[in-house]
Amino acid sequence: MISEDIIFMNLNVRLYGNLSRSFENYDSAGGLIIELPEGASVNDLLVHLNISRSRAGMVLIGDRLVKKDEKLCEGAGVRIFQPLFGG
Amino acid sequence: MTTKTITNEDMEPVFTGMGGRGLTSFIINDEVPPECDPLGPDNRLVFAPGYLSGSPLVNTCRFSIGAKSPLTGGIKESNVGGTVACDLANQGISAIIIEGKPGPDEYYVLRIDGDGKATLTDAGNLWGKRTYELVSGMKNIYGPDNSITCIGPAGELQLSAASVQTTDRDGRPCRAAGRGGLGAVMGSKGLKALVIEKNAKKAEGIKDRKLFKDCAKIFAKAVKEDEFSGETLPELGTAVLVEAINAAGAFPTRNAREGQFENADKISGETMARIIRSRGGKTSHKGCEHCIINCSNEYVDEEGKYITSSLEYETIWSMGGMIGNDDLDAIARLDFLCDDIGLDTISTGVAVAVAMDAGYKSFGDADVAVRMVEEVAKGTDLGKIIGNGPDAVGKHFNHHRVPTVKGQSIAAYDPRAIQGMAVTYATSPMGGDHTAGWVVDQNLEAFGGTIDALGSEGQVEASRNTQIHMAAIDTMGICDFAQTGLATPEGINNVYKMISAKSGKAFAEEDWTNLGIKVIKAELEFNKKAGFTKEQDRLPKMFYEEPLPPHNKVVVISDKEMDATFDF
Repeated sequence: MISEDIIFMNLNVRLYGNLSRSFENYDSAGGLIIELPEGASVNDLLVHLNISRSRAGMVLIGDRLVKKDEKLCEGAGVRIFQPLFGG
Repeated sequence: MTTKTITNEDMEPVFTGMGGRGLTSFIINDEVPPECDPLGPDNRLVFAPGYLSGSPLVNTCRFSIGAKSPLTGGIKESNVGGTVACDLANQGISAIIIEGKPGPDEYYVLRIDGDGKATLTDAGNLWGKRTYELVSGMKNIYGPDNSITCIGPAGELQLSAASVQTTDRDGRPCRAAGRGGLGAVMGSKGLKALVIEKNAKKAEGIKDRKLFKDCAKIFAKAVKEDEFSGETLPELGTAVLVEAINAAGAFPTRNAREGQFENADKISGETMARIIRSRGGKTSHKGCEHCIINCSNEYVDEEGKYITSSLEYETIWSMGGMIGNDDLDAIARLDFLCDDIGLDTISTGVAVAVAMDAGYKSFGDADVAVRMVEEVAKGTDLGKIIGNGPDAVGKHFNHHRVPTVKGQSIAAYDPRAIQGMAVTYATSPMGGDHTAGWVVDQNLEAFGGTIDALGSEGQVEASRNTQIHMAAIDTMGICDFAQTGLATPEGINNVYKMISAKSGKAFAEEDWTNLGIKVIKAELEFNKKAGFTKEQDRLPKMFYEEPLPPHNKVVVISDKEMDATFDF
């Protein structure tokens, strides 16, 4: 079975602004622990979290701003922000 | 104020269709001698509601205040929400101009009652009062149904970072026209407060009311449906920017020595909302009349007792990261103190940061910050230095790391990490000012921007276009955050239709652009006559010479590029 060959990785995801509202009991101190298949990208993570591309503004892995096709790796800390407007 | 006379005048035809910033800047440029003493009798203080204030369009209760600034030495328009713009517009008043200067120890309140009758009354017994006490006492004199626009001790002392405070919908003097030291100009005129009675007979100033209302409905629907203005701002306020701007490395920390504050999570919008909720405060609050966003909040202490309203991003930065302070309760107290004393929270926080950077006290000591701000109200030597803003502090301590442009401090976006803000800070006729041309979204790709935030390409054009657009927005009196209302199939054409429906004259895109250009041209003209040259359109050396962690970049916009911003 192919599925048995899939290796999963754990990600620590923190959501900002209103993005956490869809996740009941979201722990703002610890964020979410998400399991995705190895090789998954930021886009795959957004699909998994049901966050549309337009709702995800800035994405960081660690302290690095990344594009949405960036591949994720085991243990990555991902921060997702909404698009903002201000002044 | 020299003769204590009040005259009513019809608006000059040349100002027809004007309001807000456009009106204040045109009047200042036309009537104020550019080289005059900003605190002398020749300066004029102009109050003007936006052109659309008091109309059925939501989020248009914006009030512009203009004068020659004692902080920058140039023209200034500072705008504020609350209720006063609607109250004046409802009376059919387009502007109030305060001119001259009373004798020493003469202080006044200017009251306009519901019939539009204006009177000057002696305010000697009110002089010296802080704004919350003042407003509370004035309610007993005039009743609760007035908007009160006033100064605190900082304005009375004519300090250059003094704000003009105005009441919110709950009658608290917590909304500030903070920038440019206009509170000092009001103090120099001996004017303690402007009291406008509410519930005046509505002025009928709209030619095609049905068309206006139809367009206003479309706009309001878009504001409500947008996630940012419809959900995020009501829940988290502008403080939602803390984590995002910090993550982008653009959160000036410890007098802009770093671009990220390690304890930003302790002062973030998310943390603030959690604290407010747990203590029974209000995360969402309607601060301004006719607002459907409700980005305001009520921050309370552990016993649920009111500390301040509204705790906003710029103040959280200036009294937080900028002075290395991660205590949100202390930030809230500093915000209240500034409102109560009548001080711009941005200039005051940066003044404290410069003093700390100069070694006067340690970064992060919130108690020291509170004591320094209290000194302002006491009128001590140190208090006067702090109350005169960051340049005065730099001069006093002979310290050269002072993040100001034309004497006014930058705001909460470091220009080394968001280069477009370098252009806005340097070239705005207002001095270091973020609202004049907020290009953060255009700089951050992830917010839909297409410009490299760390490069120079496209920055001048972005800042120029945004500054022109904002000059028109501030003339109309549309709240910056309600610009999500432009996100309809008709876009900004919907606003043009409303302007046309009000004036009865055609209004199109070129009129909008021409309006913005005309306003900026008048402001640049005044500044030029006041002695400004291109040399003032530069940032302080620290931004060109000190790389800012984490990106380790300096400002890369050349002088030539800066000078091309307004080459008209």
